[in-house]
Amino acid sequence: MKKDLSKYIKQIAFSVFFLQLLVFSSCSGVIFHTIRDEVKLADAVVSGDCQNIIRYKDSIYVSVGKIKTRNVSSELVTKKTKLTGFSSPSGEVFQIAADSSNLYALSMTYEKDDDGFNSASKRTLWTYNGGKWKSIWSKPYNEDYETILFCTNTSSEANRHAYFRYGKSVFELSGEELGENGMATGSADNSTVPTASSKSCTVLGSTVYFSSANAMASNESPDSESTCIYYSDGDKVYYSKDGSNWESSDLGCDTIYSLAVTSDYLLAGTYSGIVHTPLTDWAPSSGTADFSSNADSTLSSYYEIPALLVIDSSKTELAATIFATCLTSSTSASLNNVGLWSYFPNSSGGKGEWNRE
Amino acid sequence: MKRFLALLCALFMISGFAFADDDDADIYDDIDQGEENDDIEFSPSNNLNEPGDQYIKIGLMVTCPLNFGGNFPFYKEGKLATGGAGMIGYHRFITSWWAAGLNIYFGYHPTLGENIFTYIPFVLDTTFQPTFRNFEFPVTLGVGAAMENYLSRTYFPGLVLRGAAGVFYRATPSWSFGIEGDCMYMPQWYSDSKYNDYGVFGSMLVTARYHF
Repeated sequence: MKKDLSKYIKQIAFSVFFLQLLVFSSCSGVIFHTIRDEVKLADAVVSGDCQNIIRYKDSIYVSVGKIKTRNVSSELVTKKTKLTGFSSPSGEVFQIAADSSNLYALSMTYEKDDDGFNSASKRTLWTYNGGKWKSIWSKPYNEDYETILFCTNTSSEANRHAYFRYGKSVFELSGEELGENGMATGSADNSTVPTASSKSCTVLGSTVYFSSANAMASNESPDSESTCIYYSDGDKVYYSKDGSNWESSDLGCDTIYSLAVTSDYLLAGTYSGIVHTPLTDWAPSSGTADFSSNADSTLSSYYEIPALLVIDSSKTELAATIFATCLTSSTSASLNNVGLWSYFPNSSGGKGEWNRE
Repeated sequence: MKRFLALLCALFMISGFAFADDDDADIYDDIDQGEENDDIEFSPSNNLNEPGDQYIKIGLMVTCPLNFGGNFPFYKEGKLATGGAGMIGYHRFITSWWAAGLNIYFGYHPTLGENIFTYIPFVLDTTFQPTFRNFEFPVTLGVGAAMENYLSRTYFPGLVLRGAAGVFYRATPSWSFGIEGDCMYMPQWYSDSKYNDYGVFGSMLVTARYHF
C-alpha cells in the first residue's frame, strides 16, 4: 500500500511537471514591467455599449443609449472633466454622427413581442441643431437592411460631413428629411464616390473619401489640412497621400475596427485591444510597438476598441488628448471597463495615463 | 534558452532523489523479510522521521508583494496587492533530517488597475528538518519554474527561488500541522533588457502534512 501510493505520487507529480514544460515552453510576455505602469482607475461615468466618439462644434459626443458630452475646446482639452448628459431623442440611441451644423442620432425603438420579450420594432434617424430633435427618417426594423451612420469627424468644422447608408442606398445628411433616392454610388472602393457597402469616410485636404473598411482616418489637425489618409482591412492599414496610390503595412494584430493619428504613432483599435505603430513621414511601420503609457493594461486584449479619437493629430501620442471606447471581447474582461476611456497628457511633461471616463 | 537548459538539468539532478531505490532503506521491508533472514533485527528509533519516510503537504498562503509599492499588510496602494495561494507538495526523507521533494503553488494577486496576476510555480525543494520532541523545524530551499500569467500574457519558464522556515507539531504519527514563513523570488528576463524585472513575495503558510 505504502509503495503503491508513493509510486502514484511520483508518477503524477513528474508527469504534471514535464507536461507543463512541453505545453507552455517558449511563451513570454512583458508582465511585471506592464504592471508597474498601471494606475488606479476612476469610477466610470460613461459605461455601456459606446460605438462612436463624435465631434460637434467644440465638444465631443458619445452615446450609450442616451447621449453624453464634454467640451474639448483648447482651454479644456487637456483637463479631465466629467461628461454630462445631453438632450436625447426617444428610443435607444446606438449611433451618432455630425456635420458642420447638425448632430445626428440613429435610435432603435423596442416593443414587447407576444412572448413578453423586447424586440426591435423601428429605426429612426434624428437631427439636432440647437433646438429640439427632429425625425428625418424612420422605417420598421428589418434585419435584411443594414443601417450605418458615419461621418468625417474632422477637427476642422468646415470639413465635417455626415452620411447615412440604409441597405445599399447612401444619403448625404443636411438636416433635412431624407428623400427616396440617395447619392450616386460607384464600384470603386476607397474613392471619392461611395459604394453600396460604404461604412466609413475621411477627408484628404477638403475632399471626402469613402470606404467599406471598418475605419478611415486622416492626419488633419486643427491648424492644418490632411496630407495622408488611412483605411483598415483586417490587420492591414492602407495609406495614401494622393487618394489614388495606396500602400499597405501589416500590423500583425487582430481585426482593426478604429484608427486615429498622432504625429508619431498610428493608433488602431482592434478586436483584442489597442495597438500602435510608429509613423515615418506619416507612413505606418509594419508590426506594432510597445506602449510607454498604461494602454497595454487598460485597453487590453480582453477588449474590443470600436472607436478612437485624437483631438489634435499634430501632437505626439504622449502629448495628445485621446478618447477610446471599449467593449468586451473575452470572458475574462470586466464589465466595469466597458464604456469610454481617455488619455490626458501629463501637465508636467512625461507620459500621461489612460483612465475610465 | 541556456538558462532554461541549465534549470532543466538542475531539476533532473534533484529529481533523482525522488526516484531513488528504497529497498535498502525501507525498514518495513526489512521487517517483512525477518522470517527469511534471521540476521536482521528490529531496532526502534526515537526519530520522528527515518530515511524513506514520505509526506504529502497541503497549505494555504497569504502572500504579500514586497517590491511593488504599497504598505503592509494589504499593499492596496501598490501596483500589486496582497493575494493568496494554495500549495500541494510531495517530499521524501533522504536521511532522518533531510528531505527533498516537489511543491506546486497556485497563486494570484490583484493589480492596481483591476487586473489579476496569477502564477503556478513548480518548485523542487530540499528541506533540513531538526526536531525537538514532537516539534519539527523545517528550513527549506527550493528552485523551480513558474508559469506566470497577466491579461493574455504568459511568461514561462520563469525562474523561482524560494526559501522557507517554519515550525510543525507532530500531532499523530501520520499528521503534523504548522506554519511557515516563505520568501519567493521570481525574476523575468527579456531580450530587451529594459523590461527585465523581478518580484519578491513574502508569504505566511498554514500547512498540514500527511506522513506515510
